[in-house]
Amino acid sequence: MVSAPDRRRPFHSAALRGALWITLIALSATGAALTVQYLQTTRLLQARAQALVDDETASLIARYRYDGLAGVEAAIDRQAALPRLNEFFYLLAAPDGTPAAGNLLGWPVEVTAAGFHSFATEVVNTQGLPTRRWVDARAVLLGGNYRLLVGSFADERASLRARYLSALFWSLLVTGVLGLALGWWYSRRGLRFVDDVSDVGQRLLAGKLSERVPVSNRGDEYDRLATTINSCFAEIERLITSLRATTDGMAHDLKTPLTRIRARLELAELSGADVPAAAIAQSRHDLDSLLELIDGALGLARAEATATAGFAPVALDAVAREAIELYGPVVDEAGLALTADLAPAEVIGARSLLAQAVANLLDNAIKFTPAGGSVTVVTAMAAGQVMLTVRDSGPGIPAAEREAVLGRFHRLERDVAAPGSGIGLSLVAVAARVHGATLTLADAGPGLAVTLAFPTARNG
Amino acid sequence: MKLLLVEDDAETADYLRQGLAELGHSADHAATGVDGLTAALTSPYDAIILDRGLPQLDGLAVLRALRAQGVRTPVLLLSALGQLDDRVTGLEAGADDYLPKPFSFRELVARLEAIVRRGAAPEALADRLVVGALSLDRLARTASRNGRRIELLTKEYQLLEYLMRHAGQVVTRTMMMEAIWDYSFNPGTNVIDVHIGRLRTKIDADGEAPMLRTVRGAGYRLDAA
Repeated sequence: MVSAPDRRRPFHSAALRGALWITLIALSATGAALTVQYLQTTRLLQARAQALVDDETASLIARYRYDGLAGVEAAIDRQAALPRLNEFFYLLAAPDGTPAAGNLLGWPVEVTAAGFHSFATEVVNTQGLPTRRWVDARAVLLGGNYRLLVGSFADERASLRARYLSALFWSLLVTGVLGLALGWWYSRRGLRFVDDVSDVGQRLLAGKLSERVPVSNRGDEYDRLATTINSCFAEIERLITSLRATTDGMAHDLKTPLTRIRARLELAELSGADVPAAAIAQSRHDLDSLLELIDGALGLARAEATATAGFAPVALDAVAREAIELYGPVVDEAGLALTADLAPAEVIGARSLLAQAVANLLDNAIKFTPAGGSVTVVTAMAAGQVMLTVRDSGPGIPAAEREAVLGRFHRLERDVAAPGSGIGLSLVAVAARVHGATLTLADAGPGLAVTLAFPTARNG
Repeated sequence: MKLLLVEDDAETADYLRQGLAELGHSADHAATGVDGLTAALTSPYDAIILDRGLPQLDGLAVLRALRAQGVRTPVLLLSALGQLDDRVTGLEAGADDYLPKPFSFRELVARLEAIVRRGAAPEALADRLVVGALSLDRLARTASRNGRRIELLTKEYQLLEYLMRHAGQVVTRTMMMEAIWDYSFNPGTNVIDVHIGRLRTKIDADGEAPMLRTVRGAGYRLDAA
């Protein structure tokens, strides 16, 4: 056997891929959530800052309407002198740009037109050091080309932005690390199952047919898969075991008559005379039983491969009636009483295989029941099942052997001398399996009752 | 009978020709499908024994070609495949009978005689079959021997009819199994023997000459007594 190349690499690439995907998903979610929150908050803060600036501007414009430029200058001086939480800055500039009033030294270059502006600019603080700060300002054109600028510092927004960036960095870092770690753990957990299954499969291929995939009690998808794989493995084990039993049994049953034939021929060769007529007749008989055995084994193999696609409705009672007609005289000859209770019973199946199963059951019953006994054939439809029972008053089969007799080439110790190949009941078992029927061997006290219970024809 | 044997296994062919010669039949041998088809189309034969698995052209193809050419010679198809489906395919292709390998020589001869007889005198399905003192009324489904009425059960009637149609020929157990019970498997034990035994006691009454004879190792034969 060519061993499959070991494709397992020390690096678990599937687990890594899984971990990376999980990390990517976590990172995008975190980043998106933080950004949306940041944008919303900034918008709110900016709206509030603009409202404050607009409010202050509006009051100065009102002053201008009543008192003209002088009134505005006075108001600006008064306001600038007030220590306020919300620090405003003002500038009233003459048409040539000279400051007329306010706490700015010159008109900021960033403001080129009237309206609301939000920008960063160099601001000199009280210590005379310039710093770059965010500013919200409104410029208004007054009469005589005088310009008025009212603004406030947007330090809140600047610090929010800084915090956002740092939060984004740390969140992404933590999410990334956690995502990788948990993703790895999670992927390995799922893939451990895959590893387990491939290990078990390798061992099964190596010949340990009883190997099964562990099934947890969670009842999840993995367990369902494990159960399915296990039933496949069980079927493989059953097939191989039955194949072994078949070949062993067949080898034995083939070799016995072949050995006899060969012995006869060798004996004749030794004696130098022609092969005696008796030896020829015996050999032909042996050959016949060999052929019968091969036919039986082939028939069994064919029955195993019966395709359910060709199934059609079959009247089981009619099949039983035909078999009874065929075996009736044999039953009389054997000194048995045959009773039949054939109620209409329809199954979906292969007629020839069913006929053969029924014939085999009858044949067995007749063969193993001593004269004076009885054989009963019953067909019935009951409780969603179609039943066929063949009961005899023979010696029966010990409970411990009932399973074994369904195997190929198995004969009870006491029947070894009886004619037959030990295929009869195996064929019934195969027919049952092919038709999805259950086969039961029970004690008929005394005797054996074999029942085939088919699923009813009209269940779907 | 003049026969054509199309069989690729030389040993089987020799053994069959020898056996047939001993029974007074001559057989030409072809080892391939093409040779077999050529021979069958060029010379007249009483029957053709045709193996299914042949080199060049398989048995079924030969058979279909023959029938397409209007050659009606009876054909006995031999095959290692004994499945019911194969049997049906073979008969549908125009074979007159089908015999799974390995077969006994007697079985082959019995079936060969049966198809040749059928080919020679296409059954007119007479209302009355008569073999010696035995007669069968197919309309009334009754039988009598020398005017003594024989009471028969359905299967016994069918069995007797089959035997009378093949009177003078050996009829094997498998042939009866297929013809009367339509079972394509061997039902084991001596089922047919028991049926024949019953029929025999009804046909051959005490003091009458036995008509239904056992042919050892082959089957049964109904003679005009």
